[in-house]
Amino acid sequence: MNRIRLYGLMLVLLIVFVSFGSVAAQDGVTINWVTISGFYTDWAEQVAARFEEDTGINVNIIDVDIGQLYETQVLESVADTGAYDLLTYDAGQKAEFAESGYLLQIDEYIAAADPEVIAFEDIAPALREVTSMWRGGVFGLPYYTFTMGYFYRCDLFENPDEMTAFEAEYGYALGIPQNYDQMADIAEFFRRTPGETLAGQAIEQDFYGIGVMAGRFDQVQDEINSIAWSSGAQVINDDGTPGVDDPEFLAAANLYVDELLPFAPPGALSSSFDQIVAQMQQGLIAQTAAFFLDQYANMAKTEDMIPGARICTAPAPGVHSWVGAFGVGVSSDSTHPQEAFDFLAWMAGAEAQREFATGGGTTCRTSILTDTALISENPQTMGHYPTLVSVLDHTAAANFYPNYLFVPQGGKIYDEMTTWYSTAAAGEMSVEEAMANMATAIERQCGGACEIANEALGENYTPVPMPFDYEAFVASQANDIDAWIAAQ
Amino acid sequence: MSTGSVPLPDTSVNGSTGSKAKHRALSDTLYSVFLITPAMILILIFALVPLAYAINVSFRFADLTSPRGVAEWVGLENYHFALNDAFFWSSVQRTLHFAIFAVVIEMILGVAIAFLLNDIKWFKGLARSLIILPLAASPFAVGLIWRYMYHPDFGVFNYLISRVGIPEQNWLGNSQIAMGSVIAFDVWQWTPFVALIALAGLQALPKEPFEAAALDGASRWRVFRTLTFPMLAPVLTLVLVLRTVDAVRLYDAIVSLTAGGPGTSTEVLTFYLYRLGMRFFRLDQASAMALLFLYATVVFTGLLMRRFMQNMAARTRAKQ
Repeated sequence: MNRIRLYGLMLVLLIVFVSFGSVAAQDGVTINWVTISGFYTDWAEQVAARFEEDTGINVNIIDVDIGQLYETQVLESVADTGAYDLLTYDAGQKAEFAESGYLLQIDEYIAAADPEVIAFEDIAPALREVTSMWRGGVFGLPYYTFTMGYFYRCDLFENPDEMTAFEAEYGYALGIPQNYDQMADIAEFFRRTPGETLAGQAIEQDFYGIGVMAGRFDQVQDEINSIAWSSGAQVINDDGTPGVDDPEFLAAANLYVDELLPFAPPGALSSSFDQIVAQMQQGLIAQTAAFFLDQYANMAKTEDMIPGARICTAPAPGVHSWVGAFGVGVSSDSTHPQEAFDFLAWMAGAEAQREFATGGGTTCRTSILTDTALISENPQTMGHYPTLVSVLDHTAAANFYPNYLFVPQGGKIYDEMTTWYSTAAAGEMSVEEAMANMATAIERQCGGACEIANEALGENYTPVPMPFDYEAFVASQANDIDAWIAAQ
Repeated sequence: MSTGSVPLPDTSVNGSTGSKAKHRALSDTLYSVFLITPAMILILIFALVPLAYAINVSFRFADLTSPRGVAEWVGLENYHFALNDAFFWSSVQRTLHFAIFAVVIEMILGVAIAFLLNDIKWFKGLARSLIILPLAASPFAVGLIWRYMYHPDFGVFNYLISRVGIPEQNWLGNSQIAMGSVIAFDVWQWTPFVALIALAGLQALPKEPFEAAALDGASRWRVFRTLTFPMLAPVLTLVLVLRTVDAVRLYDAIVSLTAGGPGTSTEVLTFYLYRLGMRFFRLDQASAMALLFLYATVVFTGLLMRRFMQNMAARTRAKQ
């Protein structure tokens, strides 16, 4: 090739690269929202487009895989790059993001905002506490809750043959488990092998009493912690010391490993939430352990896939399960904090959230969660709302919020839990050994006793779990959405 | 046509052509430097600068989420931590376990496939095209598919083995066999690489020694042992080095298949370093561990490559 032409070509390429590197600032303000890839991004794009139409502010949505979202945001925040105007965080990361100065405190912005748009008080109090509040200030707004409840095959639970057999064997009526011992009984009872009968029908494949997420994914700790919290144990005690090696916590973890896991499908040790949904849809399991209520729409598909199947929901035993949400906050590095907040207020506001809920999202707004007419119109996607409201109300009434959500090292401790809880579940080491390692990890992450900024630890705080009125819950028919709608 | 840096013959009486040639050789040198500079700048920016930074950080306290950030010099403290960290050593052990088994199986299968492909008469092009497909796929994306294929409740593997009466397995959920399942995935993905390189090596071998061996009535095994394998050895050494270096960097498959579980049974070094550096942001300790392992890898590959270079030099001398 002619060398002069080669030089010319390289010069042109150089000019092109330089041009790309110096794109002039666009007209108007652009805010960058980093959020979870593939997670209601269609809705987010629509909301952003309407916001742009109304305000002229461009919203650039940056999708990041959920597995990398945490470190991506931390690295950009630590480096003060200003790459993102809005950050997305899990409730368990709120304390770290707020304490480390990644998030801007937005109390003043909220006070100055249109109360009808922001409607801050409309956000479920429990979700406000775990997702927004840090040391008395507001650092973000929740927009999607994955609060845990309980799913079960009510067609099996209400089958007369099964009810009779269960009562004969365990001495009490088959129903929604009110504690984890009852859940273990139900798990054992419904374990069937090929040739045995289930609801009067001979089965050809194994049927399991429970689906659990014991794989090395985030969900294993959500399940074990829910058992522990419901029995009064904590990951981190009120004095900041590790609670995972306390007798109550060890009992909870042992119950999970010894009394639930043996009755789960073999895939439990490599399962996360999506596989529990698949197990339910395939007709393999009778119930879940504590499970994410936002998966209702997927769980409800079981009714189409398994003839005669009905899916019902309830609070998980003891109710003090994982109550959480994804929150969005304004990055303290944002060069356009007001515009970023305006979009946040719009996106987490009542109007956009109503669209979000209609599209299948699980909103954090009480006015939508309790909108009987809306739920009646959308039972396939909102059938879990009555149960969710029960869980959120009970959590707020009990003023029970796990301590580890209120330590700045919460995100790292959450990651440690995945390793050690999974290690115990897999039998790689005993529960006691694994939890001793977990306790060491907590102390390592906190540099000793953890500093807890849990405002729930006030005068009215009691570490004893608050009882839940299951009879009233069943009487309300919130567990069965069709019955609940008919009763309205 | 360029003559490279080789001087043109001096055909003139006064040597003026020699001067031009010298000038042109210099020009070619500059031209080469010009062409290679962008690549060198990229390597400098994306490899050497981070390496230098990692070395620097490994001698400091560096917790990105701490108010201290990258702070004071701590000497060998991080290396001391690394050498005394049981999780570091167990992850190294798992990494070596994976690398040894995966690479050995890939080498054996890859070479066998190469011989098969070299011998077949029909559809050779199609076979080559099909075999390259696993290489073209993203390990992470394919790993997610394999995760479902491995699933004990819905997976195709259990379905297949149950059809022939073999007990179903918990491929990724059983600590005893999870690493084996990851190895099987890696073998599926990377054996074609070994096969293709070995096939290229086979097809480049001179015909004459084999024709002579055939005339002498040498058996296939003897031909393989005394001719084919020794002549193919340099290529195989290179493949061995490349696959080993790649295998010890295993990450995508672990993330998509097991996330290091069940428990810690598939937590290889890169995954542990990722957690330490990117989840706990202890860049100091992660850097020290990474550098220790890098050193070991460089020594290992250096030894192998030295042998490879010696073989190549011997072959060149033999040709001369």
